[in-house]
Amino acid sequence: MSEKTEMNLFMGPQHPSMHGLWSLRLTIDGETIVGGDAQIGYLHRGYEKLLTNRSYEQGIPICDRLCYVESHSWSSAYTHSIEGIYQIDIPEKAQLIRILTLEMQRIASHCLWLAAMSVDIGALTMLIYPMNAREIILNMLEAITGARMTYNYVRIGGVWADLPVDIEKKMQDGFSEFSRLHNEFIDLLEEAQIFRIRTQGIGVMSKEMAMNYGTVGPVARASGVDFDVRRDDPYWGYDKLKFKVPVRTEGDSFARYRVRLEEMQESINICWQVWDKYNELKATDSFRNMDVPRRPPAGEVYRRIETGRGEGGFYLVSDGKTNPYRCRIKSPVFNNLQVLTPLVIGGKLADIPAVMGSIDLCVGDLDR
Amino acid sequence: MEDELLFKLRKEFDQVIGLPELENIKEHRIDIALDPKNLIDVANFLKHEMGFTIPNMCTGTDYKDKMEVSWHIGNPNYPVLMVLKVEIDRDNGVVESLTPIWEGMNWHERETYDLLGVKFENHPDLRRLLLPENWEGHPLREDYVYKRPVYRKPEDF
Repeated sequence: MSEKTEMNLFMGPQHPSMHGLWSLRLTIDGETIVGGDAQIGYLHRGYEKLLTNRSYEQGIPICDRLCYVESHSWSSAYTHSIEGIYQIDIPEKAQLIRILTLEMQRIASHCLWLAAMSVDIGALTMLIYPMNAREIILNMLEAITGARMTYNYVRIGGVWADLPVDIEKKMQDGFSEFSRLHNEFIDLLEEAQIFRIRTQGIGVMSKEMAMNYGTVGPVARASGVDFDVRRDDPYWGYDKLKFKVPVRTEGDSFARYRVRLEEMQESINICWQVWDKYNELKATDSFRNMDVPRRPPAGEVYRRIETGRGEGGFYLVSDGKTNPYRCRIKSPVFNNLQVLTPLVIGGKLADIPAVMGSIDLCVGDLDR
Repeated sequence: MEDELLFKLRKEFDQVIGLPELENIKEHRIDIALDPKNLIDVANFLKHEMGFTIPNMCTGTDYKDKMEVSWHIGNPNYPVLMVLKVEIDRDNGVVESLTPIWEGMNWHERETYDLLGVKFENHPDLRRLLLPENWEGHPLREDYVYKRPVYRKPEDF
């Protein structure tokens, strides 16, 4: 036998779990991974240039297309930064509506992630169950915003419409049905030995590693980094709400799965708290601050929100014109994917889908 | 919270770095204007003495007469973001890489190199990230002229 037994393997679009838009160049020794290099950029659409060539209002529907799984988070993040550039406040009603829709969007995003991750590791039945649950949330979002995927609901200074009158009934029916389905996910996955074997102890990330690589969101919280933008750098009155931030210390794929499942339940809790606060407001209260100046003052701002995948934000530089001078999108997946290659090195080839699925990729906001 | 952090930085790096006044700090962002030669010292101090362990992002802005490179660093215990800002020469500017200190800056600096042409010294692996290797120019620079890519026709294959 020769000493050199290493082989290069291109794990690209031909692999069913790579979602086709990025690839991983691996060096393997037998079944063990000894080296890797993630290749991204296949979906690079030049968003930063695109946004600087358009006025601030025109950028909002474009940001909806950054990631179709949680488009509302991205248009809200952009609007939040624009409001920082314009130095305007938004009325309380608009803040509550934004929190309500964002939490619904987080649940929908986590549902799609659960479907994708389960299929990645071979639990094909679990493709249908979370999609079914996501449909419930999308119906509510459709009732509020008028669209199912790309909402274009936020405006500079608020939102474009108030909540519909029958939304309470829809929320009661929807969330009770969702909670039933949520328990079914847990029964289907965690009772199954195979799921636990494939995720527990796989892709373990220590707290130091999570911080050093700058991971954000559920990936960092599954490794014990207790940071959530909603609680620690609050915006839109998140500091007036009571909610838990699920944190686990194991740092493996199972912990990342578990953190997201707990977050879904916590989001429903936030939605009902927001609904109570919303009912204390009068029906005639404004949901949009119309007092937006024509041109913003020069300056720069970086504002962030907690999207489903972690901290997402926009760094905007204004020179006083109606379009941004420089725009930089801080994508949560960009930070989280960096850690994938170090995580899979030393593991087996078959563990890659289990680790990759638990990181929750969205190539749209990774490549921008 | 910000006053403690500013006090610590003033004590260590007085007269060397430009720090904002406390009343000018908005939304927990502390902008630190730096000379490139102090960058590594300040970065090491931030990480090891002040607990700024989370690399948030690195980005650059082309101001036509200068290039500004900024690193946003986060802290797991505070909502504060430290923004290290360095101004370099626009055309041949070279700046020290912070990837050896925060591993997570790796792709961010590669992207800044890719789109803005900023060269990072001591970066372990400074290649293009988003654009193909044979791309000419750096698209987010203000003087970049977009040339339509030449696609190969079927008869060229």
